[in-house]
Amino acid sequence: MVYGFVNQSGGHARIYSEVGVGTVVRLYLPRSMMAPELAEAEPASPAELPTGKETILFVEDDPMVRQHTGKQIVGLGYAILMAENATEALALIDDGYVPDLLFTDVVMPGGVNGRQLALKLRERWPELRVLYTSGYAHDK
Amino acid sequence: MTIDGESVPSKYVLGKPYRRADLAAKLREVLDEPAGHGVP
Repeated sequence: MVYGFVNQSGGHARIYSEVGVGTVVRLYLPRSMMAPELAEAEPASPAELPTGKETILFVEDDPMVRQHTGKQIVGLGYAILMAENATEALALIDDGYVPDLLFTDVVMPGGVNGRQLALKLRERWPELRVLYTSGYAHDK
Repeated sequence: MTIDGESVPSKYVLGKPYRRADLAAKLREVLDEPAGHGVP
């Protein structure tokens, strides 16, 4: 599998193994001279994107996604409240924060999923907007 | 998609991975809905 991936990419692999010591796998990949397609596809400036001043409660258990998306939301002008799970989100609410929109992952650890969190918050604010995110959404 | 046995319109779901432009558009779309709308 490793050989196939590297070979297909125009590179090569070197594997060094020593009994009782361990194994070193080095993958050598050619440097791409092409401009990143994703960067080109994105609008050049956030000014071209719809923005807002509302407060977004963003609940996401993946720390990398939480950090990356959090920056994007702030970059769009919104105020943001971030939580790792429903328990943290509810604690923020108990501290007095009031979101305009709940943006939450559907599947989360801790026993309360995004849907259940939304229902809890809707009991307090029936007009709270809710947007779900999921890695499974494209398959449905 | 279906969450907890209930169907949620795609309007209220942003599939991963998403791009900044899709995120920006979806946030604005849902925020701009009239009060009382949205997923139950």
